[in-house]
Amino acid sequence: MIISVTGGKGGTGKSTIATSLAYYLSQNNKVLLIDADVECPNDNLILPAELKERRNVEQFIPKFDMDKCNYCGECSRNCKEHAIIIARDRLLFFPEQCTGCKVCMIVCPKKAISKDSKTIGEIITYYVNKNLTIKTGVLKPGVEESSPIVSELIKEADNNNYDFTIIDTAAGTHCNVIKAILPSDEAILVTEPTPLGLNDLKLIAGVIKEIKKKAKVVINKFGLSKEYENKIEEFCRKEGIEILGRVNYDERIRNSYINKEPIIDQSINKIGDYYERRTY
Amino acid sequence: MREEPTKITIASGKGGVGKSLVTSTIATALKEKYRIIIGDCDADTPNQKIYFSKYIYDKEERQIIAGEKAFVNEELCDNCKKCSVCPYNAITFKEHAIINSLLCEGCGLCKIVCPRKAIELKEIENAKLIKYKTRFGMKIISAQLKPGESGSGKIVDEVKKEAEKEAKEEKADLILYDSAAGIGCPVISSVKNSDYVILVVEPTPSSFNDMRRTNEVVKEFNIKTGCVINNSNFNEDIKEEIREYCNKENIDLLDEIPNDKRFIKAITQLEPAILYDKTLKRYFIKTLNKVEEICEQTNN
Repeated sequence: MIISVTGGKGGTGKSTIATSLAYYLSQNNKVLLIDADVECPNDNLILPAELKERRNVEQFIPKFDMDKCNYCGECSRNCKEHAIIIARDRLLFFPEQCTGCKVCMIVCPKKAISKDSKTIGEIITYYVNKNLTIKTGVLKPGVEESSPIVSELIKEADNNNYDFTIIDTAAGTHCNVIKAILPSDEAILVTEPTPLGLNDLKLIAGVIKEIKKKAKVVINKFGLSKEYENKIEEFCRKEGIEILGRVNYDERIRNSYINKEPIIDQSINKIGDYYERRTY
Repeated sequence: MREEPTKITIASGKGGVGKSLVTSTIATALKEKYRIIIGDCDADTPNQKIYFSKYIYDKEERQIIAGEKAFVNEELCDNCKKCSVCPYNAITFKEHAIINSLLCEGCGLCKIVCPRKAIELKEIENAKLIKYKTRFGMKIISAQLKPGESGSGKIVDEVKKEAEKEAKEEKADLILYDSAAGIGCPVISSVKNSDYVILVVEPTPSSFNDMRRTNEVVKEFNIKTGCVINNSNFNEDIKEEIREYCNKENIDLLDEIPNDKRFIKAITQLEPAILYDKTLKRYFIKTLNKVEEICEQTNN
């Protein structure tokens, strides 16, 4: 079973829920935790994780054969990212703008462009215990386009060796978040009882509806505001979204998070039990 | 004297550590001293409007074009599959090519390779640009990207363009940019051309790690940077590590804001923190002084 953990707003507790759920499930199951927040991945800092393997993620960039180039400008005109500029008899290429679409190589009438590559990040594997593996995508700072890393990382979800795969997404509702939700059977939307949490929950719930995924809500930091707990419950009732759990705002959880200790919390364990029951 | 307003960007890497709180507090505290525009650069989950919701009396919105996407003319497509070269794996085939618009980045490769001219690129209005007027005189420029779309970097550029146009018309002295989470395209767009960047961090391993990653990006632009430690009482050891890191990296240590229940009370009552309780302002003194200092430097 593949479960994605998302929520819209940053800092509501996506990684807290994803890591502790993965840890709990790994007591009786083989679990893969995929950290798809490639701009700011942190699951390996929340659980006691040992680095096992790392590989680079490369992206196509063009290589120009200046003996063949006649400065016709076809590549520059077709590049949507404005990564190539031709000024009379000079060609300027800005690799940081290039997103690797290969259009330049295909349109060049002189076949003066061939394949080269640049490293845009890494995929790192960590072991937590014999039942729990983390795969993390890490964007190299300064690289603009993080989506090729998410695309590469998310292929790891297609793996039958695990009973559960948990995908921890980035904040927001953009394409990298959607890409990480798409392979999952169900999404857990983690929210907090504040106007910000509620507002962003509505946005992400709208996305989930559009891509026709099942979703359930976890209210984290429960106890912060009765008023907004009620508003979230009312929203979920109206939308027909089940509330899977309420995790108390608790200093104990925060300290485990800070001290890289697995979080043991009854309400998170109950969520784990629920998914275990569903797979047997 | 420089014609342009001072531009300060608030970033953090990790979400939910207090960027929007710091942004809205600076704006509220300095609203009498300066004419301020807030540019909310988080086009996915823009939240400045929530901090000021009680004081917003008018809004204007318009659609903006933030990109192109490929569309198949089913009658012309003979399913030759040449467009399967799509670098974003956005094309699948049934009776004809089908483009998943959530994955299409609009590069146009499919259009170029199609021998039957069955693919067109069309500009799509995938975002709204929204201008809020507040009773304080300050304006908030915000964007809402259609969920699932990419290209929020381009939208951030639109927000900044609009904020700078508005600043010119209003003769504003200060633009505050509230960045999105992360360190990718939208964040790079938010940070570039700023006069100063404020990094907000919490003393947790995750937030500190993300702050360092954000700083790596900010450094490439050679922008002077300061640091606000929010929820500063979460962990003494990590707080000390953050201080050491700031010293080493030549980052100004600004305020340390403890975890105080009044911040949550304020936001749940939809009140900017220092209007909910003006004594909370004391947590922001160094930051406010720094903002004033940067304003003086850049305007003289």
